[in-house]
Amino acid sequence: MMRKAIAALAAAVLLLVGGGLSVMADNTYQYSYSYHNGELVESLPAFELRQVIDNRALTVNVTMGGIVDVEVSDDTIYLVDESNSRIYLVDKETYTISSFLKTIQNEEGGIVVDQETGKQLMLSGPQSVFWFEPENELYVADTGEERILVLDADGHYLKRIITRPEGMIGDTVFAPSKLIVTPIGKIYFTVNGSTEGIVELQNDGSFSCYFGTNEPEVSVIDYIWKMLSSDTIRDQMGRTYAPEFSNIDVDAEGFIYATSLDVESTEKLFRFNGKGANVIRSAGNAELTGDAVTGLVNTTTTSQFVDIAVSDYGLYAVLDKTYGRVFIYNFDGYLLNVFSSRGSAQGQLRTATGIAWDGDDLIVVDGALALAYVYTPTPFGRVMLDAEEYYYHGDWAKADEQYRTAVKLNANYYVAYSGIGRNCLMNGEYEDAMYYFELSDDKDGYSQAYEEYRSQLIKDNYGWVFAFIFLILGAIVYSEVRYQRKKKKS
Amino acid sequence: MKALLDDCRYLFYTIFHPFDGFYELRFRRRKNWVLIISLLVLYGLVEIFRQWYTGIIMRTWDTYGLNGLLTFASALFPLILFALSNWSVTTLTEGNGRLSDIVMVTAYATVPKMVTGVLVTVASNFIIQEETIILTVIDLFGTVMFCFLIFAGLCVIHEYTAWKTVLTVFYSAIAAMIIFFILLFFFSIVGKMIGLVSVIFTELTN
Repeated sequence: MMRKAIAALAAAVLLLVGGGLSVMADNTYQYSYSYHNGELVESLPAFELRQVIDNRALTVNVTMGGIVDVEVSDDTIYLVDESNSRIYLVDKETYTISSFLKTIQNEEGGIVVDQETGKQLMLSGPQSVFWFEPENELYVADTGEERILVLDADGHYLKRIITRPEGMIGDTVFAPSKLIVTPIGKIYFTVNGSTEGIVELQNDGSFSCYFGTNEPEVSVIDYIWKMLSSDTIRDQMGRTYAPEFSNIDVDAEGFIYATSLDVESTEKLFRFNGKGANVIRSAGNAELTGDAVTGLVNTTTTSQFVDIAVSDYGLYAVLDKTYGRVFIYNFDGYLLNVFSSRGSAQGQLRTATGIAWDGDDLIVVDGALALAYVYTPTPFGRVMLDAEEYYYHGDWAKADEQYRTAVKLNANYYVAYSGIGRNCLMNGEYEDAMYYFELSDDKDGYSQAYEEYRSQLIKDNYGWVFAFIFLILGAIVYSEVRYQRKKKKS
Repeated sequence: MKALLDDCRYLFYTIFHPFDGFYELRFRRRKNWVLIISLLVLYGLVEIFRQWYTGIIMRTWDTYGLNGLLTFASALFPLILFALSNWSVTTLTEGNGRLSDIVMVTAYATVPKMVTGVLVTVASNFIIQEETIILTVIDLFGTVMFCFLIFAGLCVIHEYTAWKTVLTVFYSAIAAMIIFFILLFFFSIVGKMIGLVSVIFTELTN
């Protein structure tokens, strides 16, 4: 007995030590991976480094500073240099920088002079640009001067300036940090330190409203203390503010995506509906938190999302500052792939600041290293993206084909099993669907497939099922009757 | 063999009449250690069965990489720890139960948990997601029965009032934590010592 107890204890201790080791391994993992039941599963990389855009790409005699944002138009990649107040124009074909924006000119090529101060119109600590495709306009969030500049995207001359509108309410300063324009022309931007949400403006620059809610995490203990304490103490304790948003993006349908890196925020990723409620889908095996927190990992090691890039087919890539990782999620919230890491080697990031799609390429910029990386899909990544694109557009058969190829390339790619399962389910092949859903551990899918399978089974064996039920009922009645009879006799 | 069968029959009587049953077992009948140990072993086996054969809908772990021995040990470990800690508390608080009595109560109390465990595991292969709640309730029923049997058994064997039983169980939990902490300490020191010896050994032999 004693020996057994000791053996049991030793086993329990081993279990604890083993748990600790795997936690350490999570933090030092350098390869591509995805998650399955909260555990790391190795994966093929979906993206590879193709091009580095740094000072060597410059044909003008300046040096790049802290790049804070990247935006891609039809022919140009814009890199925003906040510390030098410049916006570099990178040619998409050759990846060379032939010019940059600093002083803004008017349509005739002359300098623009501010009427009040008499100064020349220059950028001052811009934090983002946005290319508005329908009008071919470039919106620059000129944070330092608290204004938005609207330029022509080809000639880069000034069209108009948007400053703080008359009717803007609230305490938020008009210092646009990250800015987007929806396809119908509404302007949204975040403000650093703002607790009131994203600012929404009409296209003419008039104030519309604050948009999007971000709920802070309120701890139970704080709540109880606040309930018990008097008003004076409560005032001194400081309030819990709504966490701020770190970045925003917009998809082709005009839905706004946002990220938050505030530790108090309960959610890290947002997809807002028209009312400003978060409707992001999270059907995958891991929560939408980037690095899955397993066991006793300290909260400071969780991912901090600094930027999000949404593709045309609902797929989005989010950039994590903590470990310099890029997480790729599909529309349903499945984690497809993770790549890149923090470090000083080529392709690694030190202070990740921005990410953008250029077709199927991803451009990631780093503030501290003052450069941009162009990542291009690997053969596996190509298949992965194609499958998601077909699936998003409802082309099930083609998506299924791509998913099957993906599985051949990477047997650990559980998202593909789920995809194949869904296709089988729609074709009425329930047993196959169950098989694939079990491989991907997709409980929702499995449940649906099994429900169909089970009702089919009952339908086919109608007679047997009923015979069985009648047999049991009969047995119960018979035993009861016999029991009563025996009772009467005695 | 006949005695074992008889004790098995009495086991079911105890489950449905815990106060009378445990009283008889404590003061009149002889304890059947074969039955008690096989119940504990069976409990470990049921846990292994559960881990292996729970349907995917209710499964939150992966079946690959499961270690049967580890499951077995980690199922029995809390029970034995509870028995030890409860014994160490109740000897100080004038409980009349012996360690063997506590082990017996614990072993007998696992029976409803095993029954619902097997039932839930088998049924979980034939359900859809909406029906998991039914099985969760059945499972909960097994756990409640388990707790009730432990409570009733401890009441009887220690000749405690209900309130005192609850209190001692609470203290046992604290004692269990202390025991666990000391064991952890002990094993980590032993591990370090083994490490030291092996390092010295490699240093000397190479």
